[in-house]
Amino acid sequence: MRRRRISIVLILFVMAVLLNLPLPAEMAVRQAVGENVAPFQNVMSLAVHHAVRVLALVRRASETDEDIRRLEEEIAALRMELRRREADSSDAAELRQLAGFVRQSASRMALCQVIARSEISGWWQTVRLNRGRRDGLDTDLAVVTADGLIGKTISVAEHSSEVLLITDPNCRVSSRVPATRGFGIVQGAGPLREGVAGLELLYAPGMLRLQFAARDLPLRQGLEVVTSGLGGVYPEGLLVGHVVTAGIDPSGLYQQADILPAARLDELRHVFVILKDGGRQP
Amino acid sequence: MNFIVMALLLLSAAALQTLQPTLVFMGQAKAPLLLAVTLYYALRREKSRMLLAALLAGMIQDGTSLIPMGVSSACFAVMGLVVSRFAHVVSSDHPLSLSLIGGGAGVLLCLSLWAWLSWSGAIRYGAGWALTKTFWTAVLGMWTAPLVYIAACGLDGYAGNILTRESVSDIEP
Repeated sequence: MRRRRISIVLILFVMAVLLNLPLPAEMAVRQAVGENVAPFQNVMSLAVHHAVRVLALVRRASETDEDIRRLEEEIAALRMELRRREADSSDAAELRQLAGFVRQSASRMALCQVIARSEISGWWQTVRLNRGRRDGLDTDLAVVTADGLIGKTISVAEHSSEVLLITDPNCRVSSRVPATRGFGIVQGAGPLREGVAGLELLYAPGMLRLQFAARDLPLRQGLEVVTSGLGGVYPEGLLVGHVVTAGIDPSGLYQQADILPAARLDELRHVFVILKDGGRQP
Repeated sequence: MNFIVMALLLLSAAALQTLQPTLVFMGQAKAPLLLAVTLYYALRREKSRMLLAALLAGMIQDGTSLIPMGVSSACFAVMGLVVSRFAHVVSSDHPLSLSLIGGGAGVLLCLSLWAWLSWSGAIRYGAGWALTKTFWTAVLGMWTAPLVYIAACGLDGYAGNILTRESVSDIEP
């Protein structure tokens, strides 16, 4: 009984200490926990990925007619092999495309794999990558795909890192619209916006909002929005997205526009972290 | 063996909670699996184990998200203490009781996290979005709590940490 009381007091003490940790210690604890959970997440993520692929194959195979089942079994096995090869070939094509993107880019980049697509509590829009400080990554580095900007690193541990997506309301990107030579701030519009209707609510890709653009800027649908290079986090000229609609903001002083991100944030598998000059290419 | 089962439950819950896809119309709510593990310990095990589970579950949630360290642990511990306080007055084995406990705890957890994170300026979501998320967290919590309870009971029973109905019936008079 006495031992239990001591352990209860000890646990409550640890909780109180956790709540009052100074920032460096909090970061150290956070990184230690993240590092230890990341391999488990990685394994589960891979298992789910392969299970979904196998289930898709099984579902296709089960649609065959009962009468020719025996023959279909043989075909299904061949199909399975073919699809495995197709998937491998598709992965290779994707990696070739990414390699081409790296060659044509002037910046030094680290190729990373997404090991967790959403954050555990659901309060932020983040993804976790399989590379960290040991691979030359640091906080506040731009993260891109071949299609465009996806976010920035916000927390970096030894072997993994957390990326805040541009669709999160906490993420702000200094941007410009090259066609109009205008500037503005792009911010995640959050998951629920006024005027969003229908199927978009089921699994919205996440929208962005360009704010504080000059009133007289001729913003129209389809115009490209790129990073301005101001602010120090995002290099100049990264494609952020395209203008969907534009209008005067509620204050009447500026113009605002809804932006559709150029990168497919719901299909992230491989991404690039743009390293700073001193960064080591892994 | 107790600690291994607890670690296995918490790590599995954390991985599944992270991998869950979220839907925008549900306020990006996730099934509160880590909370459900804490509730299992609150209903079935002694207070010290419940507090240890709450501490570790909170550390995992905070360590793999942007929530300030210790906040989730404190929330889980409070939920666990409240539930364990009233565990003897409810039929904790009944799925309906577990559903109600899971839903209620989900509501409290979601609202308290929203209040805490908004107050500290860590998130920028309005009350409407928070209520949507809370509602769906409660719905998911109602489903999750009984399932996690059954799974955890089975695992703890298999490991010999608790007496299950089967193990009791095996005892010869």
